[in-house]
Amino acid sequence: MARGKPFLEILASSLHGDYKFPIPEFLAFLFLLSSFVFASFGGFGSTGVAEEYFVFFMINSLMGLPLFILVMLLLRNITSGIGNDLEKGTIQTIFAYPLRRHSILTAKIFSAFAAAVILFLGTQISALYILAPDMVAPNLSVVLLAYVAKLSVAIFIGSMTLLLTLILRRGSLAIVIGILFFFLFSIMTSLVSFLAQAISSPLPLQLYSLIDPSLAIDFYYSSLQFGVHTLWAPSLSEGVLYMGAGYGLTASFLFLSYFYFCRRLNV
Amino acid sequence: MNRRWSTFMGRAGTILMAAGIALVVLSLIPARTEENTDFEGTSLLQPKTYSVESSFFLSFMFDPQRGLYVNVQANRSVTVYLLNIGREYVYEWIADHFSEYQSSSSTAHTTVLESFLSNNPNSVAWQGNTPDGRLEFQYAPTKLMNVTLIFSNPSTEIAEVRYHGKLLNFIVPSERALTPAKFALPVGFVLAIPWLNSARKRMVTKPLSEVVQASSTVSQKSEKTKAQ
Repeated sequence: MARGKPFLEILASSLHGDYKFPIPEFLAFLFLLSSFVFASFGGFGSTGVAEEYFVFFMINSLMGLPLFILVMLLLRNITSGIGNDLEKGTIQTIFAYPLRRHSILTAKIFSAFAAAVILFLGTQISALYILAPDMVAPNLSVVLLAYVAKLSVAIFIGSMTLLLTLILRRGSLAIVIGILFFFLFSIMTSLVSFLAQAISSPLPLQLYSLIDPSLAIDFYYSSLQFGVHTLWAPSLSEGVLYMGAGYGLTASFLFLSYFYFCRRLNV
Repeated sequence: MNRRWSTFMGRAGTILMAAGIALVVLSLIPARTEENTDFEGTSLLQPKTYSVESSFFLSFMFDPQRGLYVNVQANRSVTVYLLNIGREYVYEWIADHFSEYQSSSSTAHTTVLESFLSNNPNSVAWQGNTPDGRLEFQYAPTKLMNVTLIFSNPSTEIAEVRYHGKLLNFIVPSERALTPAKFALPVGFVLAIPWLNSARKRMVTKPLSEVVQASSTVSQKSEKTKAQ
């Protein structure tokens, strides 16, 4: 048997389980519809000051609900895919494939994360381009930066839930914890902003940006539009560093998941 | 075609079709008039002159979801320009290059306008004529922009222009949503045909396979019970 075949076999069966007809079709429909319905351009200010800010503002506005749906989809895919396999013992059948454990987990992760993220990005960037082609084409770097930053927290929650699912061996509990973390992170942005203003120090913002780098990018673009922000005006390179830290944290959770799955998981 | 590839392409096709349907649905939603943004005016254009209209609502910032509707009536053929830059920039450019005009001059000879347009070729967002004295148009920007509405009288006689307009709100301009939908729906359908066909065949043969599967399950269970 060719080496890639068992991997493709597991990937195909995971994709089949995670994206049953017509779930992705409905998601594409809703992602696209909501992207246009929630899009906003600020409706104030003047042109020529910082178009990049308006592009970032537009992406923020149209990403809200679809990002929430994406996180829920990621959590559901992880907990019902890998979680159910562990809970029901079907993982033993998968282990019978002539494939190393890390390849099995890679196939599962690819199915849970990549396909959902590709669907999300595909519909969002298409919507942006259809709506404002002359804003998106010259500011493609802003678009990519905004999405990479915004997706970091979604992928971070997903990777954390993956590790939890593997440790707990129960998808149902892991999904609840994952949802709680998502709500916690949603609240944290406002909370740290308030705290930073209260103590007149950007430290809470900087610390939280290590987990959610979109906050640093947000402050960077705000400072472009409204001048140097009184509290925190990070440079672009600082924002990129925070993004690196955020993805580093995600990578460490993924590494721990691989380590646990390959070395510690006894079934 | 390999069954896995056929499934992959088929599902990509159905997703493309779903996206196409979403765009068609969006294109069916009409534009909404922004409340209390109606404006109107009359211009008496001397031969070979143009006029920059200065309605308050035309100084708003326009974006891909905020467009403009304008209806023009004239007693002779005039050219209508909608520029994608603010009128202050037009005034300043003209004052800088033609010293006889002040920076707030909204009327001048058409050669001044021609000079401006030839030096700013990307500034025309929309352009039209009123051959039979009437013209109406709807414009939805593709980026954030200020606009300038200009009437130009190229003839050698006086032209009277009356216009009224309003600001429009779109979820997405219809044509912009329909263009990709026209591509997504047929391409999606073509990609989905092999998968839909095999899905149909599976549905037809399912009862028989289910019978076989059910009978084998029953026989396995009975064997287990015997063994116990």
